[in-house]
Formats: sequence, C-alpha cells, structure tokens
Amino acid sequence: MAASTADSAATSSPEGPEVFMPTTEERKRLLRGVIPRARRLGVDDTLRGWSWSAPPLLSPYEVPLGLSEVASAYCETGRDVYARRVLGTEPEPNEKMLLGGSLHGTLRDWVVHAKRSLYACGVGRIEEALERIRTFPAPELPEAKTLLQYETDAIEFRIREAMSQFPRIGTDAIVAQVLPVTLGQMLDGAFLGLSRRLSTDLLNLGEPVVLDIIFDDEKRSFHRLTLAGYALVLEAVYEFPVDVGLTVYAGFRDGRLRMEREFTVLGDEVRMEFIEARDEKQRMVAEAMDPGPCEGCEAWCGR
Amino acid sequence: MNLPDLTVTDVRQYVYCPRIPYYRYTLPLERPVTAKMDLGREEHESTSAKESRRTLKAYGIKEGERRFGVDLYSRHLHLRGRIDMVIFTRYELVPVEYKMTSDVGLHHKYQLAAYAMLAEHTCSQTVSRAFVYLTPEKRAVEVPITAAMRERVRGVLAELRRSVWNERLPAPTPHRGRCYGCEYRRFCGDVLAGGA
Repeated sequence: MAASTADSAATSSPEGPEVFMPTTEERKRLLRGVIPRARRLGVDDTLRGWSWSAPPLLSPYEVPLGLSEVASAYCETGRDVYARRVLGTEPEPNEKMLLGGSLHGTLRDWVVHAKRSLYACGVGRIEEALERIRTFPAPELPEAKTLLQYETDAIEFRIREAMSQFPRIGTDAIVAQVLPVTLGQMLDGAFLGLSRRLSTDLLNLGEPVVLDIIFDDEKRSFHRLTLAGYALVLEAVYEFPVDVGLTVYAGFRDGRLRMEREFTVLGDEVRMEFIEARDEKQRMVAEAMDPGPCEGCEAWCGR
Repeated sequence: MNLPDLTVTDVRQYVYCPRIPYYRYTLPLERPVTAKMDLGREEHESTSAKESRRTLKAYGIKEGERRFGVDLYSRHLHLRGRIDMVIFTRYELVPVEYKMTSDVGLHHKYQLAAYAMLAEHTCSQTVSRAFVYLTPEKRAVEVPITAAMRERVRGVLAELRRSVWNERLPAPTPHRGRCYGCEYRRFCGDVLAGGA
C-alpha cells in the first residue's frame, strides 16, 4: 500500500536545529495541522494499544516477533522472517544496515554525552558545558563525523537561544528544552504478542511522538508501520494515546547532511495495516509456511 | 485482465470479515438471508420515509438538496453502490448512510469512504466528509474522508479481487463474536466461533 499523502506532512528542512528537532515551520505544521487533524479524526478504540486483550489487537499466535520484523517489508514476501525464525538462518547485515546501526549508536552516545555535560555543569556554567559537549571523541566514519559536527553546532545554537529566551531557566528544564528525546526507550511488546524487549526513540513536543531515524534510505510506504507498531505498544504499556509519529530521513552527500522529516498521523488505517502484517507474519512462522523468496532477496534470506 | 465490478457492500463486509465477500463470489449458492438482514431492510425503508420530512439540522447543514437511494458507479474503480442519501450543497457532496446501530464501526467507516469515492467519480465533485445516521439514537455522526481511508478502500478492493481471482481463502475476522450471526458460519470449518 502506498503512503498516504494527506495524512502525512512531509517537509524539507536542510537547516533544522537537530536531526530530530522540527524547524519552526515544521513545528507550526505539527501544532496547527498534524496534531489537530489527528485529534479530529480520532482512533477507533479497538485499535488503541490498551485494547490489546480483545480482537483485533489480541495476538492469535504465540510467536513473539520483533517489531521491525513485523513492520519491515524490505523483503517483500517476508521470507527474511521465515528464514530467521523457522529455518534458523543467521542474518548477514548488508552495508546499509551496518552504516545505519553505527550512526544510530553514535547518535545515542552523543545524546547521552550532551545531556551528561549539561547536567554536570548546570546552567551556571553553560560555556563549560558547551566546551564539554565539543569534546565528544570524533568517530572514524566520515558520515558519523558529519552528523556529530551538525549536532554539536545545532545544540550550541539551541542552548544559546534557550538561555536568551529564558534567562532563569534551570538545568533540568534546559535539557528538556534542547534535547527533548529519549533514545532507546525499552518496552514490553508482549501485550501485542511481540518481543518483550523492544526499544524505540521518543520525542516530546508537548505530545509524545514516536521517532524513527532512517539513515541513507529512500522513503518507503512501510516505514510508517514502525511508528504505528510502537504507538500501539506504548499505548498498551502506558495507556496514554500516541497519535503522531515522526520519520527522519537523513542522508549524506558531498560531506553534507541532508534531511527530510515526515510526520504521520497514526490513525486507524496504519494501525490496521500493522496488525494485519503482524497476524500474517506470525501465522507464517507458527505454521511454518514458506512464502518463497522475493526479487532481490538477500543471499541469506533466499537460501 | 478484466476486472469484475465489486460493490460497496463488499468493501463493508470485507472489513467486517474478509471471508464473507469471498464466499459470495466463489460459492455457487443463493445467499441465505438472516432475520437480522430482514429487520435491517425494513428499518432502512422506514428511515428514508421519515428523513424526507426532516430538515438538515442533524448534519449541521443549512441548505442543500437531498436525493435518496442514489445509484453510484465508477468505471475507474470497477465499483458500484446505492447510497441511502446524498446531500448536494453549493460547495460539497455529503453522502449519508442509515445504520440501525448505536455506534459507528470500522466497516461502516470504510463503506462511507467507498461511497464518497464513488460519489466523486459519479458527480465529479470532491467529498471531504460523510455521515452515518444512527437510527436508534436519531443522531448523525460525521466521518471525515481522508486520503488514508481512500487508500485503504483501494487496498481492500485489490485484496478482494486477488483472493477471488486466485481462489485463496482469506483469514477470518479476529472478532470471533461476529461468527455467531453470520450466514456463512457453517462454511468456516477452521474457525471456532466464540473463542478469542
């Protein structure tokens, strides 16, 4: 199914403050467009994560798949899941996966480092905090270097902006203001018949937003299923509504970071699509039904 | 490939349980009519008669022309349907479907989306919202018609055609409670009605 255009607001933002932070225009679009639209459309209560104990969310099979296994459709037939779960094949990560994993790891380490520097110095010694943030060891990977250079410049701007706007801001508040993200929030997916050790990224823009950062890949219609899946799990675990997701597409060209952020309203359709994919893939594994290889299958998957 | 025409009812039933339209198209049977279906038809007729005497206040519309039992067809979608009422205003087309229920289910939502798409194709005017008129409560519920809903309807039509064409039995609805009143219950040997 193709990605919807009206229910997702795609915006180009080469000058965004941080990879995950929306620009002023994007924030306006989010607050005046995406969030009100999500509230107006609403979500059928049977498709809220907290309705996990009844159909259609109730998992019909005892096959705790990872969320990415359900949501991902890089392998069109889903044979990658069959190969891994039924045949016991060990996946061989391709170059893109390795790069993505490495950049995600770098970004997570940097966020912890930046938050730690701010807490250690406090707002009283903000220049020292900025100095500390700059001391993050330069990674070898050129893409990671570019990413961190961008992040370091951006956070300096954000901190100075916050300090000038709110001169009496406290340490904890400035961290929340300039880095309102939780990277790698752990979640128990068992409510939805998924793995018990899921991990997601979250952005707090006054409303919880599921965050998915995708490095060096084009937009694909199934990317929004990841957002819907994590929204369902968050709703099941914490029982608060999650109506908006954000996919950040980050790529590198000529040593420069290029970004596009796409907000998605997590309405009935994308939730249903996720649940249908879950049921289909769990059934495939539970009943050991080989879906056959897809075109361009990875070697380990098509074996 | 010659695409057979489908109906809006197929869309609603597919969302309710994908097996119902599959059986309708693949089994050479006369469709059994349940008491619930008879009751629904009678209620529909009586609501249409009453509706013609009402104002459009329930829909928050001041002026508009109502047409009842409008036949809609789209050659592009290979889809047809007959909607209970369409309100024609200066600025928009508003499809309305009567339902003898107290709430709007997902299957009703996508039925309306399908009607909206058909109305657009038939009348060459955009539809951005539709209504379900809940007859027991005498209340109209607005359903915004979004791009994602249209996409879903297209997906349902494609999936339904695929399953009928390939004679591939779709998975049953996860809502097993629905199986009790289903006219095709005896054909679903692999489904244990009443379970989760």
